[in-house]
Amino acid sequence: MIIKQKLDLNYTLSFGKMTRWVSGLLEGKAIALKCSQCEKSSFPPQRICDCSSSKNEWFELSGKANILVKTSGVDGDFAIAKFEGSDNSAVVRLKGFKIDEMNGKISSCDPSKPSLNLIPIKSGNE
Amino acid sequence: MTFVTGYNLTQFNRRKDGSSFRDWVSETFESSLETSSLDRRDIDTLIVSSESDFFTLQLNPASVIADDLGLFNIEALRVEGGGASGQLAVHAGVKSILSGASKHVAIIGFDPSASQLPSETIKKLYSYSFDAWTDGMNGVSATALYALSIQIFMSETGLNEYDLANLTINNRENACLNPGAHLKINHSQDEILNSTIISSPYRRLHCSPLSDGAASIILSHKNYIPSKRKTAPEVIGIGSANDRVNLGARLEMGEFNSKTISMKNACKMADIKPSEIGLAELYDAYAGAEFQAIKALGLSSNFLKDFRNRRFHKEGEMPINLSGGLMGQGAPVGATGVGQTATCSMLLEGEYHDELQINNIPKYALADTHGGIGTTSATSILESNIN
Ligand SMILES: [Zn+2]
Repeated sequence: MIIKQKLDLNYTLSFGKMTRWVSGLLEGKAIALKCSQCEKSSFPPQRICDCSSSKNEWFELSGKANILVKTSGVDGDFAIAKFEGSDNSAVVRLKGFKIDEMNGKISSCDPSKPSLNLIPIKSGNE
Repeated sequence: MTFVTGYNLTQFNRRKDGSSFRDWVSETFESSLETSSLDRRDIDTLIVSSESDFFTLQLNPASVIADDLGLFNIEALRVEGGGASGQLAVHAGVKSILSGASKHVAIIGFDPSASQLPSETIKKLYSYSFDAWTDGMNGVSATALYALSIQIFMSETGLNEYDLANLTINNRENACLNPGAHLKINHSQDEILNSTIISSPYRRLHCSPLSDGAASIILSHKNYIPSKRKTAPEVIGIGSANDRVNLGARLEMGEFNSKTISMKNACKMADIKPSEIGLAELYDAYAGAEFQAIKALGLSSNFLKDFRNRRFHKEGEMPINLSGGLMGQGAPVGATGVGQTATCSMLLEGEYHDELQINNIPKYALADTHGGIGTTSATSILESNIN
């Protein structure tokens, strides 16, 4: 015997300290955290720095990024990219990249789905 | 101090027989109990492992399972750590025995990862098992994350697509000899190299399947081992460690560094070196993840040469994933870590499937599992007790 059941879940999500990061994604801005102790910056932001400090400040990156490695296929196009001014890297969703394009910039996203999207930097697009 | 007196795995597959995960749990527990020669009233702790209530549609599963199994007035709890849930549950059991809190612990892993939800829904839920506020919202699949990591690993080590194909062939060949395995298929290299690209370089045949199933072990304190179970293997070392949840936050994005620490901790407790391990069950969620694990765990000083020389093959010096691993045996998430430990125990006691049981039983076996992308690692070392 089989019974079909559907579960509808309507979450109301708040992001607390990370609100700056999420609102940045919606606007197409790369908002990072800089450690007040060692000055290392993280994007995506890390609440605790690798140096163990919890003191940090928000700041805006240029939004430009270099792609380190890409993957594509039926699951979509993604990459690990290093944003200018950040000391770590980020997994990003790629939008409209050709195979040999390795430079991009952050773009805004669907307000209901805060995601980290990268579009290629082309002449006139910079 | 802690001995595996009972063990069992149910069939791993996509169930079409109308059975439920609660049936599989009952089936595996009764079989483990029989192996242990204990009575259900001897069990003083029940630890269950399941990755997600979304899969089972049952919150607090330990309570209903304890009831289904006729276990009352005992401690019953659930351990969860993504893909590592099962091995972390084993660790919780070992710690309970070592602390003196328990004499006999039943550990049961399960998940209906195949039959209860559409595979697209399961994939979406899995993406929330990484950082939901970054990777989850981004809709990055597990395959894409593993694909990014393995590309870095391949460029640093020389691992190539033929190695990925050959490992896939090996694990599924082993699965063909495991009656309980999900994917009993003999692939050709061409079939693998031409299968659909899910996330480059990973193709469909490099991925482990979504499976239904359950596995269990019973751990007993050395002072309470049943007289019929004098050859039960011992859990001599456990270790666990984590890494930054975001792949991009790691210094070495191609390496599973949490495994190196997890293994170091397990070896320290066991007082052995990685080179003394004689067989291993590793977490091959994708073909490349097994190579990343072998290297991180220190099971070889030149993993690529050893692989190409068939050292990890079923007839090799140090067989890996005789069960077929996740790629061949299958992957009901909560059951995998428990199943690995059960498999190692059977092999160390000479009780594994006829065509996969090795004759020269090694002294030590390793079971290693992880959640996320090598984010939460859990490692167990077992010692044979047959001589
Ligand atoms: Zn710092």
